[in-house]
Amino acid sequence: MLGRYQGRRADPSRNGKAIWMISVLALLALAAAAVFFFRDPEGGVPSASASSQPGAGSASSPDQSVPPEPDVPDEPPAPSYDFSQPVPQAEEVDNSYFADAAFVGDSRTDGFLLYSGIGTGENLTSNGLSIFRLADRKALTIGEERYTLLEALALKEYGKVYISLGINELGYNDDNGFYRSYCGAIDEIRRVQPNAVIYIQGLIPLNEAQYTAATGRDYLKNDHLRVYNDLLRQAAEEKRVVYLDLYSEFVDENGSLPEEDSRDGVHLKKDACQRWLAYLKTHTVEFDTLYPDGPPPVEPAEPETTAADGSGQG
Amino acid sequence: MRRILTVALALTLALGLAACGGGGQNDAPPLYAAGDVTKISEAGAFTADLYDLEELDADTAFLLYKLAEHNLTREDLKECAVLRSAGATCEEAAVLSFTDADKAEAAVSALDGYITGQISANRDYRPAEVSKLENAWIDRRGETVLLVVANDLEAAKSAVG
Repeated sequence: MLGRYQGRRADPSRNGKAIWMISVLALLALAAAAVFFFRDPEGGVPSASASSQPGAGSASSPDQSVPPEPDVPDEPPAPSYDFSQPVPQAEEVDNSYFADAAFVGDSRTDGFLLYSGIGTGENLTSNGLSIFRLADRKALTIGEERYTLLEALALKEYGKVYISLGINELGYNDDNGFYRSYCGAIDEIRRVQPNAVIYIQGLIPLNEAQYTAATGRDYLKNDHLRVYNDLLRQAAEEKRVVYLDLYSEFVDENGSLPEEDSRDGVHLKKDACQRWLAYLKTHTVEFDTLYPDGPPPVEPAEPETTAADGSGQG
Repeated sequence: MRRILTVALALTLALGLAACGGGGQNDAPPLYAAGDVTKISEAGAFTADLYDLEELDADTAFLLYKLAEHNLTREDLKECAVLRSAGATCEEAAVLSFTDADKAEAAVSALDGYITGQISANRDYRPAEVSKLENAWIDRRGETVLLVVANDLEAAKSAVG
């Protein structure tokens, strides 16, 4: 009897199963590919096959333990501070800004600290002090000890040092010596206060007529004061410290200190001292802005220059 | 009887007058007052007139006169009036009022030290002012203290009596 052999003609059900299985596998492969390529890098759970692949770390397969860096455009570096220019006007600070400030100066600064209402800051002033004698004149008594102003400055750490000297030197004809002495003083101050902002206060003008009327002397001149201010600006630029243009704040149309600001042409009345403070409060600069790469190097100590007698007018 | 009463009344009056006149407390000069500094200025004691002198508040006066170095606290200084030259001279007048006489006595020492420092600071700088400083008038009345550095000290003393 002949069998049921149907030759090579496939069983239709068998073919259907194969097609079905192939289709299912194809669909699964497509699904896996879709997950692999379109998953959310932050929230998606990586497939074991993707994360285990060596060399799979790329923009398309980042390591989930390290969040990717945000795409931020490169910012241009902040411009370096221009020491050739006076401190620009800025937002007003509170008087507490001066709590860690030292004020080095002569009798004008002493008056400022008394009458401006500042209420804080270290008074390191001495009547008649000049830049020529800053390092050797024992001008201050603290407790039972006598100190030069620089020695007194070294006793504490300050965030700012304000210097105002020059009036007592106006009677001398040694502009180069004045400049060198000022540069040397800045070096010394930086040596003992490396983390302080050093403010060179430009000289406030005089009233020559009042000065002559009060003292009978006439050798303090605004022309020479202006020369000194130019030298102070140069010193500030050379030594990379900041210059405060107080001269422009006070000078009148005659190139003089107005009469109402002083009685003797040199020392400021209370109202003028308060304007002086107001100027300081709106002209400040941060240490990090000046020196983003850290404090400037401290110059080695130089031999002392010839000192002139410091008795004088301020 | 009338004579006895008259004598008794006279004796009573005499005793009463004696009691009122004894002790000396009512003869003490009045305490210094804030207005005294203005009187001193208006009496012509200073080179500058009243409007050329600067007022100092109590906080500044406390620091200027270094009262803390004589164991005084800011609270010990009840009130003060200070008129001072802004720098043209060393002239000034101050009335300081303290919580008690002992504090005022400590302030006298502080003011002595202040004047000594002013003399030292001005010997080379303002030599013409040194004689005024050397003749400074420091006086305590009860819990009040007066300081005067003047061009005309007699005018100042006349002003406050």
